[in-house]
Amino acid sequence: MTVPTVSLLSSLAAVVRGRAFAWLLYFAVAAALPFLLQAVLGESFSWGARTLCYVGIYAIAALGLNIVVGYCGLLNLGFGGFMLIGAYTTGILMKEYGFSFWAAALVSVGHGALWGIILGIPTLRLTGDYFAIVTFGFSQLVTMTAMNWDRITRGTKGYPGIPRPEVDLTWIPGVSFRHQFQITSIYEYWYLVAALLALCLFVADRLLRSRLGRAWQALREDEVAAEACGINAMWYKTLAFAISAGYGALAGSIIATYDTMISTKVFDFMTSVYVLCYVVLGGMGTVLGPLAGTALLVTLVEWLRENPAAQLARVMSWWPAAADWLARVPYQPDMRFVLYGILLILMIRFRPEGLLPNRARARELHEHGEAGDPDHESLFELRQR
Amino acid sequence: MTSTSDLHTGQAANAEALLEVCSVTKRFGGVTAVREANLKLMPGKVTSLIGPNGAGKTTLFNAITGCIPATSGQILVRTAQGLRRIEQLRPDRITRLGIARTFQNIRLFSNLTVLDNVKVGLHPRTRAGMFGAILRPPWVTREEATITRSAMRYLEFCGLEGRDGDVAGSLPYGYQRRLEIARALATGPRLLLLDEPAAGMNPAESRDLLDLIRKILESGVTVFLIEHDMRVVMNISDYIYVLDHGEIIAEGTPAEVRSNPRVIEAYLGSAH
Ligand SMILES: Nc1ncnc2c1ncn2[C@@H]1O[C@H](COP(=O)(O)OP(=O)(O)OP(=O)(O)O)[C@@H](O)[C@H]1O
Ligand SMILES: [Mg+2]
Repeated sequence: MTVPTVSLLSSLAAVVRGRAFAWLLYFAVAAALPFLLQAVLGESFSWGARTLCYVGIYAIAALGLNIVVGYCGLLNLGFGGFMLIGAYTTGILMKEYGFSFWAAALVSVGHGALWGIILGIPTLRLTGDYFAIVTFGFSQLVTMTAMNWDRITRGTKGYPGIPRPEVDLTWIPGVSFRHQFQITSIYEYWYLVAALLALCLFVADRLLRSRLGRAWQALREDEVAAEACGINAMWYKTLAFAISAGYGALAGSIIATYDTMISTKVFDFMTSVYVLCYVVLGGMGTVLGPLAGTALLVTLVEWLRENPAAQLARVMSWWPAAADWLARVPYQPDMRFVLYGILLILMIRFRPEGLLPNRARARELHEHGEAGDPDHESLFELRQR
Repeated sequence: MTSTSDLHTGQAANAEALLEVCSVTKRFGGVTAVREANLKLMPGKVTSLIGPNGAGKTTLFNAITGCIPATSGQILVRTAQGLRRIEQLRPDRITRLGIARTFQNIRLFSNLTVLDNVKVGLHPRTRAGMFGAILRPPWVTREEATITRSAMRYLEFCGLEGRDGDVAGSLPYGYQRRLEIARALATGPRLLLLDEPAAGMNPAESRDLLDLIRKILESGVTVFLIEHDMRVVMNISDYIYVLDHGEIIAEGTPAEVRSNPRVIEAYLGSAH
């Protein structure tokens, strides 16, 4: 090969590895996905599009939780609480006070972050398990408040009638095509979600690869050593908690307008657990891991609503005996959670680092998993503060 | 005896200490790990702290760096604004006042790369925050470039060139010790506390370590050293404090300490 060809190839490789190319790919795939789904799924397209939107929304939540769990190494079991706060804030502001979706979402993010700080300051001093329990208590508190504060939230009856987001492009000079419209179709919803997800991915990625991200990772690796490097542990943990809560609130506020109603049941404790599963199984501490985890698990749960054996039977028509047997396997939609559980156990057993792990974590789990971490010998020495 | 008193005037009274520990006591429940310790660190010198296992050396380091605050007593550090009490400060504040340390049980960020470990060390000397990280204006890009450049310089200084991309936890032991020193130096200290840096090193490695400590001194950093390896201690120390059962039982130059009967009894005696 000639020299120019080689340099062309290597610069092409650099472009492919670079972030600009990744973003181009993201937008191309996001734009094409609804059409692809329509082509592939045919009449069950609406199922596919709905699942797609849920993947996008929950991916935002997972990216946020990952900041606390993956970047900082703190276990948060109450993430659903922040999503609920965001949902109600957006719902109430849009319905009662006529806020636009954009203004309401912005206020929701701030409101979520505020509660992140309020919860974080007194509790982040607690170590591991105690901290996780307090976050669990917090989410229960939020759910109870929403269920019983009838005057504001309408309690267990749910909060209906939230308007759809409006897009107003009149401020851009020279726009004539549909410059002011309400988002209603599932296509439009997906593009809204994809755009917000892009923003969230961008921020999560920039945060990770910065002085701030390094400080968080240092705290995750060894808090004592991080403090000896001049890192104010409380400040950085609180900041992570606030940003993460803001992500959760944004996800909640999108769900509120997507469903046009809020039910307290949508964000119970299981929501916190599910989002945690997306993060852990996708790969903690990376940007794409939570995205992959959400895509896989949300799609799986939605797919398993219908008997998977019967679905398999349909494609197995070339082997009538097997298809016949499969078609007679009994199934109930709730059984999908059993299958889900089995999948989680298999994942933890065979790929504990997640689908798209961060390199170092994979190494840690596979190389000196059982051999006793030398760091832990010294915990006794310094953790008693 | 005259030579002894001459050296003592060099150590005390009118000379300006960089750090002073004044009757510091640390109790863990019923155990008094350090009792009424007094010591001074002179700028530009190597001061060593020796003593048998469990004497309280690491505890004293933890008290100075704020990792485990002292029960009572004062710790004073000389800053541009004069003497400053630090015994109540958080560890990160103390680091920012120019006191860095390494740990007896190596504490690296073992899943991060060697380069990132040193970059974390540069944290107190840089300032990009949340908005800087997200928006990444030109000054942040420049700051990141500076961080990378100086981190590489610290790696080179400590003999770790070419290792920057390795995962810190996978480094050989001797390199991990050096990396911890590089990370501590990156915080820009005036005083460096080294807790048994030669532990587990072979003679060749500890000779290299001696050279590194000399280089650190030449760059204007004062060193406070805990070390069991007597070759290292006697070779490099300007002044030595001997700790036994939490109390300072002797102090002086290497020659004085070596010939002190209490030291021979408490420490060197047991080692021979
Ligand atoms: N966090 C702690 N909690 C309770 N006791 C402690 C703690 N840290 C140290 N000690 C006790 O304080 C005493 C002094 O310990 P220290 O680690 O300071 O000794 P050392 O001189 O550094 O010994 P070595 O040479 O073995 O490192 C010991 O009796 C030890 O058990
Ligand atoms: Mg010790």
